Amino acid sequence: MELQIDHISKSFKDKRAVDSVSMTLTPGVWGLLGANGAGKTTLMRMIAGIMQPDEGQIRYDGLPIGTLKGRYREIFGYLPQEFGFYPEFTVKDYLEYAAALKGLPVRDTKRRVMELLEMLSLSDVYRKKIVRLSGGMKRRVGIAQALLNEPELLIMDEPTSGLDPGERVRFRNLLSEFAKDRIVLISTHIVSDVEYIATRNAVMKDGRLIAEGTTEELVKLVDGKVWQCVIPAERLPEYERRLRIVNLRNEADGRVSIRYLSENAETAENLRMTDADPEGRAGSMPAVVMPSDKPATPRLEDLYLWLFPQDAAHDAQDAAGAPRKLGNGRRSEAGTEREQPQRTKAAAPEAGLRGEAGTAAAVRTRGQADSDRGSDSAFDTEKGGRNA
Amino acid sequence: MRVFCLELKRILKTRLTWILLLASFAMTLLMAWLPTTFVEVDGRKGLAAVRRLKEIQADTAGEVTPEQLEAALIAYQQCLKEYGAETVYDLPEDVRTRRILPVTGVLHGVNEVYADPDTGIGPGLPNIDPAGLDDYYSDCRARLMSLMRMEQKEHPAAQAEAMRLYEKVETPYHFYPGFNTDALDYQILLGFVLTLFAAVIAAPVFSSDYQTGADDIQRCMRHGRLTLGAAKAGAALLVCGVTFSACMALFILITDSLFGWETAGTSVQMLYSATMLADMTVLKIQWFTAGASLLSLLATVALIVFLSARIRTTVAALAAALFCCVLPVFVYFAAPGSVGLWLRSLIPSSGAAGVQTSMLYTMLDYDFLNVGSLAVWLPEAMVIAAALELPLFAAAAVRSYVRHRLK
Repeated sequence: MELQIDHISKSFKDKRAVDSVSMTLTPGVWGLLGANGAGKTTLMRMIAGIMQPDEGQIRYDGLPIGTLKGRYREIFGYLPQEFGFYPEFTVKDYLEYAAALKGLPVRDTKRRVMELLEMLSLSDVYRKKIVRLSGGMKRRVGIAQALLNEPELLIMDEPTSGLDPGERVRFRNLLSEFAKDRIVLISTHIVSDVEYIATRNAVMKDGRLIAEGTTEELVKLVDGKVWQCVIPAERLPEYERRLRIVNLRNEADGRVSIRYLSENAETAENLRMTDADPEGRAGSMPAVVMPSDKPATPRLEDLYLWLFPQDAAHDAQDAAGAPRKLGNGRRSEAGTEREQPQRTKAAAPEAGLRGEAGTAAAVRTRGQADSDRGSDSAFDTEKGGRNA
Repeated sequence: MRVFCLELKRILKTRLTWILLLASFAMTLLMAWLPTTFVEVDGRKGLAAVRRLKEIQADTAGEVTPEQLEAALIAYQQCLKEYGAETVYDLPEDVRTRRILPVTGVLHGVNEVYADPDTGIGPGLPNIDPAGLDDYYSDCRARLMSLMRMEQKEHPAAQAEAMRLYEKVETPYHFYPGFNTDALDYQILLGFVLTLFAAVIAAPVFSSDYQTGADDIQRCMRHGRLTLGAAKAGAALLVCGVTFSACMALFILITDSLFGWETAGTSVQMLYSATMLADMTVLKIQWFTAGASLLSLLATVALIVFLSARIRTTVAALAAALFCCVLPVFVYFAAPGSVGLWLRSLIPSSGAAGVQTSMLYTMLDYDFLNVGSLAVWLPEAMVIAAALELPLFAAAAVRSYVRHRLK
């Protein structure tokens, strides 16, 4: 059982949303990571057969999905980013309707619906109209419909958005169990959702697949680029301007423990903090010698933030109004959410990735020659319309 | 079939559908009753007036023979002569009611039949020689011929076709007093309202799924394309068709019950033009209009469902649907002549939308589509076109839905 994606491309007007992506999905959970506008949704829509690629082909077990038609849809489950439903439907109505469309026999429908309701903690609301459910519950109804036919190939676009932490953990466990002998591809911004359950991950940027591998293989790409140290709390704003801080924690003694991304241990060796203004003019404040930095064990989230600094900056801007977004590893470990810094100019992440790609033999990195293209336009494109 | 039933259930669970269904039945009851309120006879109104009219004109009920016409015209002219009146409006009201009203129903059309062949202007009943009514039905044919020479001067095929149609009309005509043509007007008005309701039900069939994203999920399901597309189109047609049929049947039952079932046996020539081409009684034209309007409505719904499959937002689909419903009215006023007739025959909503463009009013007219030596009466062309368009648009809707892809 395998899904071959063979040099798939898709353009919208002058924007190349997916650019010659090739990969072969095998059984297991696949995490698809990428910033907004990276092309994840477009790729998933093409795999779902609801969008036609401009170039390339998608084959399931060697056969183009276009020729398989109903047979492909029979083994397919899909949850799009936006879960559309009929407002007049109750959970039960909707799942029965979906079961009929999926071709489940009537005698199996009730059993399967009840199973999923139980599994997704929806039993109490199955007679309620979907429109009256909370965002998380609606999302779970969406997940339930995708699982109804026990698909061999399950594609889920941001399945955990709107789920609370407990629901996310349950969902991850459910998916891990479900993915045995099945192909499951999930895209997410919430890296922790795939970090522990993904058999393999694929990373997209600007329409290209730039890396693919297991979590362990991928995090090696940022090995030696994640640091932590403790600094005086009053100096934090200055460090925030200069470093890409991914996490900070208030310590009891008025100091702050920070975790940051950098090619080197910048605070101790290269970065002698002064009161220099942003243009670099020296000030009158005496230089501060930093405490020694310690290398930290990298996580998938670090890789994500290394690859998508722009996304990190956007998330930081969102943080004040939408604390949930801080789940991207920048939540204070002491439980205090703090306003996060803008992107530092110090880092050039993909240069580092390019330089070290060879260090992890099993990891494939692609399209890096183009990866320095700005991602602002991509961000805007995805925000601009659901078709992007 | 299971998907179709579930889709039907889904549509019937929609609040908007229920509101429109209830509104449809409420409108039917109201519009069936309203025409009775317009009748005023001998100081009475409503159903009492209808009963009084039947009493007054009871002697003229039945076959309309030339002898009966002659006697009625003599009575009419005698009354005017006795009172030295030039028109009936010069007569005292009670005289009018007692002596003129009993014969006005049966004399309907006489003035028209003896109109000047060149100008089409009627001579007025006081100026018609009663002895000349001996061959009334031949005179009707002669009048139609002269009318067609005026209306279809350059189309002898149309003239011949009109005569051929009229030859089938049963004569003598029948007249049963009491029926009011307002009831037929209200029937077509009801048809138009129901068409608008159907448009509102049908417009979101596919487009709302595109808009909400529900389509993205359904399209990935085993029966989410051809089967679902056909089920959605079929369910919309069924709901709209059954509602329309039920409302029309209810309307006719109520109307004929109120005016009296015997009045439904009146020949349409005794209510409209004496040379009308349709061989029908009131009851037949009621059912024919309902049937033809149903066909037109179904073709319109099929077109709207097709548009819904092509348009990505509900609002745009609804706007397009309503435009389809009123398009025949625009064409009627904006495109006169043969172009307008061709457009009206091709636009599926022509038979169900508007009043002047309705099937009933088209049947009252003498419009033909002329193609060389072939002439087709416009109502027939409209029915044939709708019958062809219904499966065509329904199939196109399903095909468009199946082939729909995100851009």
